[in-house]
Amino acid sequence: MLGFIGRKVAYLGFVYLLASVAIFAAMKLIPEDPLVARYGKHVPLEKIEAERERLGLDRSLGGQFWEFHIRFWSGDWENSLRTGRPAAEDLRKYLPATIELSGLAMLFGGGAGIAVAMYSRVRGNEFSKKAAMSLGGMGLIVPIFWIGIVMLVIFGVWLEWFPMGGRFGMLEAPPKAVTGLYLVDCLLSGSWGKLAEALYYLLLPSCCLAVYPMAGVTAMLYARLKEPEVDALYVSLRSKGYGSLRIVFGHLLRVASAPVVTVLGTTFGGLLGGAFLTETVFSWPGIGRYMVSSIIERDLFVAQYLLLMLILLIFCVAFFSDVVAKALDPRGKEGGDER
Amino acid sequence: MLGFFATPFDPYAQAFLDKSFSGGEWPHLFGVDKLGRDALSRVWLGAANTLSYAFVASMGTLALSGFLLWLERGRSRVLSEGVRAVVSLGVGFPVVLLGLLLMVFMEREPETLIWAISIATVPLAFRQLRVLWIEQDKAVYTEASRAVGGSSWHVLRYSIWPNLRPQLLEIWKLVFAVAILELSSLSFLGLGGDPRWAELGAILADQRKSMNLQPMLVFWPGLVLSFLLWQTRLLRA
Repeated sequence: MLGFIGRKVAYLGFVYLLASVAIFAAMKLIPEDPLVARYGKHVPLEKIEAERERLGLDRSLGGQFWEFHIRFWSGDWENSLRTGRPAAEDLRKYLPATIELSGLAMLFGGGAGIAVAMYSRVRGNEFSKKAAMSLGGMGLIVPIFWIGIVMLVIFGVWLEWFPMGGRFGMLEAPPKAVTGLYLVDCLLSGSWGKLAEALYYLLLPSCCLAVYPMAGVTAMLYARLKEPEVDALYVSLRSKGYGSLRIVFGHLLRVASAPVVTVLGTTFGGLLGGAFLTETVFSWPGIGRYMVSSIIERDLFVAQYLLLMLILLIFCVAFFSDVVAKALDPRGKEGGDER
Repeated sequence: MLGFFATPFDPYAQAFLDKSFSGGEWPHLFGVDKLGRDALSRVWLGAANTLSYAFVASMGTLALSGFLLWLERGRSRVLSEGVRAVVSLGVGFPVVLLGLLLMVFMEREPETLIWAISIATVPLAFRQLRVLWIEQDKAVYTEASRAVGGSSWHVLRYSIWPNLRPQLLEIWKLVFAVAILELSSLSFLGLGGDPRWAELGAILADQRKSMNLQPMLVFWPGLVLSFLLWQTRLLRA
């Protein structure tokens, strides 16, 4: 296990190096002066030169690359052109919103995917099989942003059950920030009314985003449960007279847990991409909307660090999911089920 | 694709301002948007734009994947390892992020989206292409063709290609569907540049602001997009 973790950590280091070189090179390949792009053409040349010196952009390429890493890890990411605040401060505000949204979507999508795949295996009728296959292919047929818009029209405009956007009521104070995750902060402070309010705003966007993990988990788990070894396990348990619930919760879930964790980890990147779209549809104040607007407004100094941070986040999640999947996989344990 | 040559009305002309936000009635079956443009004409041209840009992007993906496969199957072990390592990085990497990365140093225009999609879908295509190639390369009929002295070109043309072609179409279908989805996602985010551009994702982003007043304007582009994706799955050789 330690060797496995060591290899994965080395891979993470390689990813960081490659991503930072790619982003640094991209900044150097911009045809225009990034400082002119940031401050505009009407700013005096002296100010541009002073900024160049302050940011270390007058140094050699190696010196600039070093400065890039120092600034990234120290959180000195410059002020955002959009909000006027330090970008690291904005990150603390917007990133938890995206993590909360993606986390709940993963929970909903993973749970729904497992339920559908298990139901289709236990039932085994045509309808359940078609339901599992349709849900598995849904991610490639229906665009997530359209699902969000349709949800808003139905539940927001026509039925008026849910708000049209935002993260919390405009007229109410959000929970006291401890983690930045509203659900966790409400639980920590015991504010049940605010917890209900936060859930009210979170439910629609997270259900929309849940389509990604649901499709991935359903497709993978349905295929896994159809494999001959799992099928043999199911038939032998049935022949022993075990009930459906006992087979699902006592055996099949154990067999399925490792691949489900792997799928959730590897689809986190796609989920994050989906979160960018969901945030746009539901006016969710997350890091995706913040980054898209940073790039559109050519706020490149902030965008470069944000990109690097998000790439690291994606690969860190994949790393942890691999480690958890390895620990959960019964075939990897001595005396496991496969013996 | 007919949308490139003929649409009921000019998709960009603001000719029906007096009918803004009207619903589906003859001759504007999909309604008229807030700027007085015929929605059906815009969706029609949008579908043509989406399909053509996604087609170019999917071809770019296959060409890049083929080139990488050629490098990977070459004699240099270091190069092979390097190609595999770089491609494995792209697995699970969202196209949206890559699109944003390219926007850092490229112009915000539809052609940039083609680059972003072509590059970002390479890991998906490369891995499947590699498995297929190895399978065909080691097949008994390929070995037999080599054993009787067939040249590399002869083996490729008469042993590998006929068996690879149907499976290549399956990979292209997948890549094409992903390209349609990603193209519309990126243009929905506004990364296609001109907000007036008639592309299904861009049209949805534009009409989203009017969904309170005329919800049907956001239904049609999404329905057409889903229909195109569904049809892609049904394509046969």
